[in-house]
Amino acid sequence: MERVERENGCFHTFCPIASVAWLHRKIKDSFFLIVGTHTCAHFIQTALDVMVYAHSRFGFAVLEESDLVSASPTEELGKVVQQVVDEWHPKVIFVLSTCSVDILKMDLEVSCKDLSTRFGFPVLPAATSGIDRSFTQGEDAVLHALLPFVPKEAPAVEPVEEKKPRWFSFGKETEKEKAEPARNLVLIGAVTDSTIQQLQWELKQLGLPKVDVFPDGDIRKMPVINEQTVVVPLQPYLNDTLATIRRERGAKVLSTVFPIGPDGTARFLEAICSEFGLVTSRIKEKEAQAWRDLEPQLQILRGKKIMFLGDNLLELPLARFLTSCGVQVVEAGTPYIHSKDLQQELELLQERDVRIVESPDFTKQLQRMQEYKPDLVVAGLGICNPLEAMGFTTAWSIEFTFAQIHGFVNAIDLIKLFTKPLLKRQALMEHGWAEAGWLE
Amino acid sequence: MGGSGVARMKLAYWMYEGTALSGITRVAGSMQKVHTVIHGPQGDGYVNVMYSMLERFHTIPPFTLSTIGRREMAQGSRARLVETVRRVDAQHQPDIIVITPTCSSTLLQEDLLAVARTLGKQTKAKLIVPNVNAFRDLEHRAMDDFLTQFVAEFATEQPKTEQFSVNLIGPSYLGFHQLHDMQEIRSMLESLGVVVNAVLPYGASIGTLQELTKAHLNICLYHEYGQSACELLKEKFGMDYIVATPIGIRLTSQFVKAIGERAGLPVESYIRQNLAPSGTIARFTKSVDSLSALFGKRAVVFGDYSHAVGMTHLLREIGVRVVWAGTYMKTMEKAFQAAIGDLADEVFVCDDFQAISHKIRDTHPDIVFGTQMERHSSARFNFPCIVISSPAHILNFPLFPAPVLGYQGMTRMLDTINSTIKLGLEEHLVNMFGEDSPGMGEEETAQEQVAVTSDLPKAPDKTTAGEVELKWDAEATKALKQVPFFVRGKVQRNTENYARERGYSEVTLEVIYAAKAYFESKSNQGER
Ligand code: SF4
Repeated sequence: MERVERENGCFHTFCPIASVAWLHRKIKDSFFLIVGTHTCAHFIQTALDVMVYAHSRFGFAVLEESDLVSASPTEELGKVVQQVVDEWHPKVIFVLSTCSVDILKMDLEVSCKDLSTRFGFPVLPAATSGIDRSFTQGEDAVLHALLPFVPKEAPAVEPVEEKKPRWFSFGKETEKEKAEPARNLVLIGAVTDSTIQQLQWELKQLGLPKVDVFPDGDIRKMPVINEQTVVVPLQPYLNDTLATIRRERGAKVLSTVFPIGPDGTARFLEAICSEFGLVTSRIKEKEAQAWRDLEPQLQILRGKKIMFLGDNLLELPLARFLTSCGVQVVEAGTPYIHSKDLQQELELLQERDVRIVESPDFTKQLQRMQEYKPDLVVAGLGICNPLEAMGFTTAWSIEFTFAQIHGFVNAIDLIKLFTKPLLKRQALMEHGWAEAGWLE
Repeated sequence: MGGSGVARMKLAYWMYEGTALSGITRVAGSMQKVHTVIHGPQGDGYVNVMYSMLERFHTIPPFTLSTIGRREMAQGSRARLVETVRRVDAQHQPDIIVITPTCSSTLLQEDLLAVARTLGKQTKAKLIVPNVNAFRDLEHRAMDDFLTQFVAEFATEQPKTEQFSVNLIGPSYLGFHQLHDMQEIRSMLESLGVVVNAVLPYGASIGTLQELTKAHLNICLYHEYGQSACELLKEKFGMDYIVATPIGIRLTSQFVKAIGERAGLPVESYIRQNLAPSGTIARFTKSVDSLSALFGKRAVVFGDYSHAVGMTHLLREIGVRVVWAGTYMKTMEKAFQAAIGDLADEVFVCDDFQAISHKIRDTHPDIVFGTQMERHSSARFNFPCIVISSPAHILNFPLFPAPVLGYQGMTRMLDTINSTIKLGLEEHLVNMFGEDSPGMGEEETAQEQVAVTSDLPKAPDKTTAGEVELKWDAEATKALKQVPFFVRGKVQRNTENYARERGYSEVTLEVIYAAKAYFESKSNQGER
């Protein structure tokens, strides 16, 4: 890690509660209740207005001043939960904590436990305060809260027998698969159903017919995780969830690169195949094909200079993918680096001499931008427009969080997030904007 | 927060008013050479997003976060604040640095004033700590207090301008069409022969604040904030003021007359000219089409105080009935009652988004005038809706001049109404003969129905004679279902063509993905 620089952390990003934007859609029949102040509510509605609608399955328990200092927030929270239940009938409620909950040292854990018993369905606390975490780590907190619903054993009706896992025992394959070890694979991360289907399909082609995913959209269908489980993260920011799985479940967490871009996807699949003793030779060909499919886009990207200011914690895998595309990543800024979970990505980037800046200082980045003269800057929503006015071409980091970027099939969508702004600039220049003088 | 605790919780889905933080940054961010240091957690930098996205800012917004993180929680946040203020002072060299509290710093009971007092001796910039309760106060209250604080700090006695002049108090970034309003009022005043001495806060600097008293009259354009500053200028410097949001015929006349009286200028001809038969307002309102399209139509109005009152007036002036009118400015309930009690069938003051939504549903209005949230509600219940007040979305940060105030504002509003509800003759025909083709609103549902019925690739109707019918296996069918319905047909056709050309007899996931890669890389035009 010596080559990671660290700065003062004054950069532009979102608060972790913003992850409700995708989580409330991913987990069916859920409701996300954010316990916070007016600021939290105002932030969500102004920052995410484009992406969410007024009648979404989340709301706020807004803290108000009161002369009564109550020892526990359970009673007040209970009233709000009751209202939510009456309106939405959720099967699970996530209670998201915020800065004010931290500062006031409110114990939501205990309250949630009491309320789960009282209401007869899970009311789960998730630590999403902006003091502690950054943007996408909100997903980590929510997945962590869901872990108790991940069974340690398969349900009794379907016992996992030694050396003869039940899921292989139907159809014609039974005989062939007998020798397989009773290990299951669980991919972790809240990605879309279609991304999951693609990854499952790839792994099936490679000889792994059963691939579980956590979280499932249905809270009653979470996959088994125990000592027999091999866990592979799909997102780079799930560190607490992974740590708890290691500690409490004894599962093996595969350390690999993330399945982002053809290179990352290939390394990811190879790591899984080696772990399960499957042949990996076909992967190389798939990767080569995926790169061939990207060729027109690669031609645009090769030799370009791209800079990440740091926002959504996807920066390191994305930077690694870009270096494989022949891009010169002049700086990979990122809010936070978990050196263990990101070890392989870090190694690859350092081999390729990419400057990595953790917890960056936006002001210094602005100076470095003048030096680097990047062709593209990947930046948070709050500063893209001003940067464009300064003559830079930008991509919104938040788009990478909302787009489907995992696997071979999505690689084309991923790479277009980088080529699109470049093509747009070129198109504008060809069609009149050369007149303006400031956009060269 | 003294000895009180935070124990009450209120369920809320959406907020009508912003926070004290957003109010302070609206005032400070609209001014010149004023930089704001926000002392709060990382997420509270979201004000940058509002300036950058909604106002399409072309410079880095003048806000710097003094981040309260884990370390600051453990060791105190004073050092971070001091460092940030010094850095901003050196880097941006503003005249004023506003150190603003946030909910978090307020709950932490940070004494920002003490920090400012010591630090202020070393910085070039003057340090100002807004005198607000960031936890409790809302946007407009904070704006009102903060403007007053600025005025109290900087205004000095000045000789009056020779010509009759006014200050416009109110226009600021992130307000509802406020900068467009400012232009309209400027040109209105110019036609009347009145000079604008200063605008506050938009574009104001320390110099502007010092010279406020050169004007003869203060005009507070929005009732929500700015009046306290006018009151202070009256007390301290004897400056006269009016509070008026000129929307529609009557309120605009009153506004113009009030100014004319004080300036000793004739204004009748200006009013007459704008309402003349040859003018746009009269031609629209008096037209036969508007008789059938608008007269007697049932509208509901909801918004902040100023816009809800103004729109209620305007609607009555074009013959529309206002079934109920409401505001979320609960503190102004009495004044609201008095202002429109005679014009609307019912007055409804409420800040609970759900309750308002339900009321709209139950009212079944012909048209809704509301905020962005009522737009959501109306879409849900299929009522036409026009946004007339904050909170608003990017659609209400238009590029082309789009004032709400004055005669131009009224003309523009009539155009918007015109393009939102069915016009008279069209509606007649529809009522008589039924809908010819699906209208805008129904289009999607209609298409969706088509998509549902022709949903799955059982018998592709486009198969020309001699072509082998392609089977889709279960996984491929599932994947196709995930494609949005409006492009599903195209994806299906493309995939099948691709499969046929390459001699596949069945569409599998492999074929879909290969086809996708093939077509996507072919279309290298940047569209996704
Ligand atoms: S959780 Fe903290 S950082 Fe996030 S919006 Fe609320 S107060 Fe701001």
